[in-house]
Amino acid sequence: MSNLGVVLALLGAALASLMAGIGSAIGVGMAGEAAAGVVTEDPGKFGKVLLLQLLPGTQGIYGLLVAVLTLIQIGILGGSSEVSLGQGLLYLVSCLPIAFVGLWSAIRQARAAVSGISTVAKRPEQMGKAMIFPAMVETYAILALLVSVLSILNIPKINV
Amino acid sequence: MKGQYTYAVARVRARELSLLSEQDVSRLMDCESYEECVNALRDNGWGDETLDAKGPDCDYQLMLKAEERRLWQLVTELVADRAPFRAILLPIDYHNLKAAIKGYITELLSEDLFMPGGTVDISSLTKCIEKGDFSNLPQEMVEPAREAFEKLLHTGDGQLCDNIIDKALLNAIKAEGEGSKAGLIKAYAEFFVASADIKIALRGQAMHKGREFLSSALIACDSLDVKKLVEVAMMGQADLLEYLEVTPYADVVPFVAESLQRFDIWRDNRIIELIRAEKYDCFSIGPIIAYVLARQNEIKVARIILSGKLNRVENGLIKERVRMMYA
Repeated sequence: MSNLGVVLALLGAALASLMAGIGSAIGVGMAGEAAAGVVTEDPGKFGKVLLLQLLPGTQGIYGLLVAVLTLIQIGILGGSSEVSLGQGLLYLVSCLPIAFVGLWSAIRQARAAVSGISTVAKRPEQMGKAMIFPAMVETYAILALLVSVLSILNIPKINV
Repeated sequence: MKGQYTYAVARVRARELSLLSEQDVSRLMDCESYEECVNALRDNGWGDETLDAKGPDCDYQLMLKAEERRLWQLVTELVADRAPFRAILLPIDYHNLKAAIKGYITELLSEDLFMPGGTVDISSLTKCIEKGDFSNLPQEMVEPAREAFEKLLHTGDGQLCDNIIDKALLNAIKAEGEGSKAGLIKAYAEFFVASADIKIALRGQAMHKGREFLSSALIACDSLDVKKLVEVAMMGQADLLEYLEVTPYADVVPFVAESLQRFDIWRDNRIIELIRAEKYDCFSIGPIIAYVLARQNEIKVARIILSGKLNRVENGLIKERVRMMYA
């Protein structure tokens, strides 16, 4: 069990990409259903509803970013993977903000995006406003990403 | 699952753009002739190719029937299971049952008597009536169908036949509301039964019907005290209206005080008010049900205007009968 630190860090990276990715998949799928419904009736709105459908997809990218950063830091992507148990645990904990916030915010953002798509279906001129409501949810995914990234980058400086 | 209607609701939202608004209805009323009115509806996408070939002289009933068919075709595309729509489909089924029984007994059975979109297939319904075997009908329809058929056959009293089927319809809608998880269906079923009770009490009172008739015709519901309704109906219209003032249906009083014919306008307007909240829901079956009710209301309004224009009725009289719009 000498590599338990690496295992824990990898678990963190996996959680970040898995949970944020699942959230985005659910969210983009949900918004896609609504977008398809509008396009069935009015194909001319494809461009507008596509933008709204893509909004919940960013959490999956954030999860991937955190996972890759973790893999680089622990040396799995190039270098040697010498990670103590304490550091491994810290990497795992650092990945949790984007894992949980990514999952939940993507689903909630999708609900807001679906509502925005309904708005665009009836009032295409309100596209800008319809984008703002789901975009507000993004704030919390970015905050979680920031916490995860800053933590991961600073773990090597901590002696544990 | 709550999210399973996301696609269907989005399609309905896009379709809501083509619903007739109050302004559209005003424009229709401003048309100088029936033909102009038909053309205005055509420009809005009403009718189909077969009717287009006939030009503006086409029978408006055919146009409206085509619209109803299109509505139910859309519902079939959107929702695989029609069960959530039963509360709004039941009046069509029971109307068709009445038409089949009366048409068969009076030997005037014709396709025009039936309404499209019900849950019971019209050909199997007419076969049941012709054979006198009602067992293939939905369970809740079997006994009322048999009773109405036998009463009409033996007494020739069409009103009695209507009463039996109308009461069965109210019981079926009430059961549908009680069994539904959708808030809109519960509210719709409750209002449907309560408004029918009020109408029966008002008409019964005006026609000096006895306590026994009213007690047997009214169906218990949560928002009205049916026993009290019978009591006040027996006392007179003023007492009946006074009682209605303290119920959730106080707004019916000015309509009824003006004329009994305005009751249906009040009822249809209340349904539109009831479904308006669904404009802000994106995931449940509610907006789809609301759209169906809004389209049915729209078709009714178009019928009022077109028949008025065809018979050269004054615009003021048509306007009095026009309902509130959902769009």
